[in-house]
Order: sequence, then C-alpha cells, then structure tokens
Amino acid sequence: MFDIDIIKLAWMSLWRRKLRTILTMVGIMIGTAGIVIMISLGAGLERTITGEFEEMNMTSIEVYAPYNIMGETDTNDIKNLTKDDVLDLRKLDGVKAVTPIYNYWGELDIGRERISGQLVGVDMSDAEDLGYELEDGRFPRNNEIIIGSKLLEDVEEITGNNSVIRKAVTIITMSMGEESIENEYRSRVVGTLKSTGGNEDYSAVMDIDILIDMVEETENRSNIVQTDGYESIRVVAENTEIVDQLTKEINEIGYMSYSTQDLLAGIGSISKYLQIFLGGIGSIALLVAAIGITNTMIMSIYERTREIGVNKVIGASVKDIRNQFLYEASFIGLMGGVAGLTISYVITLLINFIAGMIINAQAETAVSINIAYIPPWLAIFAITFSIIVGVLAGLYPANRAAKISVLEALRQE
Amino acid sequence: MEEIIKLKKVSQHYKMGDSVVYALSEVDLDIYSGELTALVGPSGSGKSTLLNVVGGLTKPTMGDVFIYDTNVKDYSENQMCLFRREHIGFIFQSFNLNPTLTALENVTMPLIFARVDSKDREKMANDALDLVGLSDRKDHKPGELSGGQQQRVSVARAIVNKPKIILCDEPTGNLDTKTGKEILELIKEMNRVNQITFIIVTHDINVANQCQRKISLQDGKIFNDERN
Repeated sequence: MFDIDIIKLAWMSLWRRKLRTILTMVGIMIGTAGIVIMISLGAGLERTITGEFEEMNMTSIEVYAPYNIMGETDTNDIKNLTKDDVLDLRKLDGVKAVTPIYNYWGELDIGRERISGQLVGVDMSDAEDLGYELEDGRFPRNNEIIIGSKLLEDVEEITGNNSVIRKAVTIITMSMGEESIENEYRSRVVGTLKSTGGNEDYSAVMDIDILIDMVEETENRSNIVQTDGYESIRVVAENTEIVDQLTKEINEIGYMSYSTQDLLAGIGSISKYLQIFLGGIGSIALLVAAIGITNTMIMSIYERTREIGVNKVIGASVKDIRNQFLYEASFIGLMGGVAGLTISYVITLLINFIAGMIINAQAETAVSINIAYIPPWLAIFAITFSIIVGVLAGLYPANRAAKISVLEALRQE
Repeated sequence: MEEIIKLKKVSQHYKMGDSVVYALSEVDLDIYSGELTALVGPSGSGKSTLLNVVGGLTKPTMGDVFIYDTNVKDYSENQMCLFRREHIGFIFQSFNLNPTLTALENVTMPLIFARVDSKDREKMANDALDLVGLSDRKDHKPGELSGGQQQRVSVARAIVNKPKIILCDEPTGNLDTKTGKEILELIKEMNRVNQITFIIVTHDINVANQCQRKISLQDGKIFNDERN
C-alpha cells in the first residue's frame, strides 16, 4: 500500500518545485485553519459549559427584584427580595439550593493590619449545595468567617503571613449614613474558599443572618430585610440542562434573573457568527485550494510529460506513475493541513487571550476561559481531511499522467 | 544460438487524415540472443516503428511479437511496463536523462521502479557507472556533463537492471564522430562481455558496418538482411 520509494520520488519532485508547492499549499492551509478555528470555537464553548464551570457557575441563577420603570402598574408587586421570596423560589422544580445574598462594606483587622473588603452573607447551612468549595479549613459557624481566594491573596500580601486559618479577626462594620458609625465584632477565620469566579473571591463570607444582625445594630435599624430586601437571591439548579427553563420560570413569576449561561450564550452568539464566517471562508478556501492543487498538478504533468514517458520506458508501471502524482497531491494536502493546524493553534491562543481580557474586564474576576479549544480529534480530523482533499484533487491529474502515451511523450521536446 | 526476439507478420498502420500509412507491413524477423543488430533505412522506412514494436512502446496493428517465447502483443500497457522493467533497456538519441537528478540518481531510477532493495541499489548503480567509465562523475547532473558523458549515463541506466535486450534509437545521433565511436565501442563491449542483445537504429553507415548484422528497411519492409 505505502510504497516508500514512490513516496520519496513524489517528495523529491515537490521539493524541486518548492515555490509552487508552497503556494499551492497556502490555499489548503487557509482552508484548514478556517475550518479548524470554526470547530474549535464550538468545542471550546462546549467544554467551558460542561467543564470546570459546571458546579459553581453554570447551574447558578442570580435573581433580582424586578426593576420596574413603569412604576406600580405591573401586576406583580415584588419590591424587595425577602424571606418569602426565598421560600417561593425553593419550591420550584429542579432547584437544588437557594440562598439570599447580602453584601455590606467592612474592614477586617487581622493581627496589626487592617484590610478593607466586602462582607458577603449567604445561607451557610446550605454552603455545599450552593457550590462553595473549601480550599482549606471548614465552613463557619456563628459569626466565624471564611475568606475568598482573592482576598486571601491580599491578606497574605499585607500581613506577610500565609496561615490565616484559625486567626482571630475583628470585623468592622461601617454605616453609610450621614454620620459614619463603626462597630467591631470579634470573629475568627475558619476556612478559605476556592475561587467561584464571583464576588465571594474578594470577600469575607459568613452566615447571612448574623451579618444582618450586625448591620441592623450598626445602623440602628430593624427589619432591614423587610424594608431594603436582600441584595439578590441565588438559585442553584440541579443540573445545567434545566437552567434555561428555570431562569424562564423565575422571570415569568416577575423576578429578573440571569444565569452564567446567559453570559456564555452571549459569547456563544458571537462565536456562532465567527463560526459561520470562518467556516465560510474555510470552505471556500478549501474548494479553491483543491482546484489549485488540480491545476498545479495538471501544469506539472504538461511540464513533465517527457519525464513521465521516460519513467514508463525504464520500468515505471502505470500504477507507479498514478501513485506518484497522488502522493504529490496528498503531500500538498498534508503539509497544508499541518501548516493550517499550526496557525489555528496560534490563533486560538490569541482568541482566548483577547476574550479572556474582555470578559475579565467586565466581570472583574479572573476567569480563565477557553472559548476556542482544539481537541485532539479535531487535529487528527483536520490533517486527515486535508489529505483527503489533496487526494481527491489529485485523482484526475494522476489518472491523466498515468495515461500519457510513451511515444507521444518522447516525441515532445 | 536461440532466437530471443521473433516477429511474425508484423504490420503497423497509422491513419493520417483520410489515408493510411503502412509503417510496417508483414515483417518477419528473428533476432538471436547476443546479436548486435543495426536497423538502417531512410526516414519513414519504419525502422523506429520496428524498434518501438519490439520494446512494446507501440502495439502492432497485426502480427505477433515474441520475446522469450512470450507473445507481448496482447499485453496491456501495465503488463508491458512490468515486462520491460525486467527484460528490456533503452538508449535514446537525446539521452532522456532527468535533468534534476544526478548521474547516480538517474541510473538508480530503473532499480527503484523494479523495487530492488534500497541496500543493493546504490551498489548496482555505482557498478553500472563504473562499467561505463563515469566513476568520477556520479554526483554531477546531466547539465554538467558532456553529450558523450550523458550518453554513458544513459547506457549505465539501460544496463543497470541487467536486461538481456537493449534497444537503441540513434545512440550516436547527437554526438560528434569521436564521441559517437566511443559510445559504440562501449555498446560493443557490453554486447561482447555481457552477452546483451542490442538492436540499434542508426543513420550512420559507419555504426551499422560495425554491427554483426545489418537490416535495411524500406517502405515498412525488410529488403536486405546481411551479416558482417
């Protein structure tokens, strides 16, 4: 099947015509790159959705009170998110966990240092179902706190100490009223959180009821939840498939809700346009490239008619001649494929880098996102496909070469 | 001596527009093993056609061509290629070397197509080049060689597979008298030492006179067949 000597002959005759070979190859390269990048965008998105984000982000839906610009005419009269809303949301099908979220500005005294950070209150009894994962330590009880990954970096940098767990801290809450009042609460760091890609990364996280007690005391008010409402309510769906449906249901009740999937769907629609665009370019380029190979090969046959004739005289079989040209065509395909794949790798790196910058700038979080990803099967597919394109483009010229009459070839000067 | 090539009532017709050209008409010919035969005759007498028929480059319209008792008339083109690969070498007037390959590579080509083991190839090609006296020009490309040297390369290419029959189409036609003589001497030596059967198409009466047998053709027929 693989005749190494004929393969060598094919390779040599391509090498003899380097420039032409490379120019012919460029078409295949562009075509392959276009198609590979197109598929890599789809593959990357899919991997992002089903991959590392699955537990923490992809199932969570942030629910907000409706923002009603029409005043009170709406049939719904949800103004603030309260405990009732949490209970209502918990009743929906497919909900794994629900927590109210309350943010408050504060500072932490650790040792001799004072570090500003946000205080985030969540329902700590459900922490694991909510998707929180500990890097170290345990979840807090009472007024204990755990520290998000970015805040931890700050703390370690400022205190110069990298074992904050079990350290005593003082939480300072500050009222934002006309006169600023500070309250101090003695507490303890009991754990550190893995990155969630959200607010928690920059915050000290604690039980929401205790945080609200502190806030009410600081601001000297009561029933803050009834009057102000929670910041938001986080609903965690049982799996990624039902997130869209659940988001829709929640919105139909009258809330405003966003899932991480919505963000990714936005990226997805951009990537879909890119896919269509690149796929179009790629397909057209491949088609043109295939015609280019055929054309180059036919030209080459005209040029080498005599050589082909002589080879037949000195012992090349019809099959040898045909195979030599098929190998030449498939080499052009192969090299174009490899070059195209290499370029695709570079371009996907660029895409991911740029997309990462844009997303991180918006979300103010360090999400490592791969919107373009070339899985191994795609690499293999790309190479195989470009070889097949080469072979198909070479079929006609190869048969033509094989049919060359020796006498006519030798008569040609 | 045994007959290595037998032609029986071989005719070759070409259509040229409305008329039919009889390049060969009912030629009977026996060539014996180890013979050095010259085919002479004016242009259009059919001598080249005869050579091409023997080499299987063209099929006779009628008649049979036996080589080693095998009738190659019914061979397909591919079968003929495979047959040629083993039994017949060619030497052309215009050398027909591949200009992009070195002398050694040119001589190696038939071995590649014959699927000779790559370990043996180089030695065989080197031996052939040594035999034609080109030991010091192996890595030169045809463009860097004189006409006589190029023809020597093509002689080496013809003998490298050790065929028993070599067909030459005006082997000295592109060479000056002196070089032509050298090439003819080389051919005679190959014939004498290696018992290769040569058929040489030539215009040159001096070449023809040095061959053992001289066959004259006219209008597609043998009209004289003499041995020197």
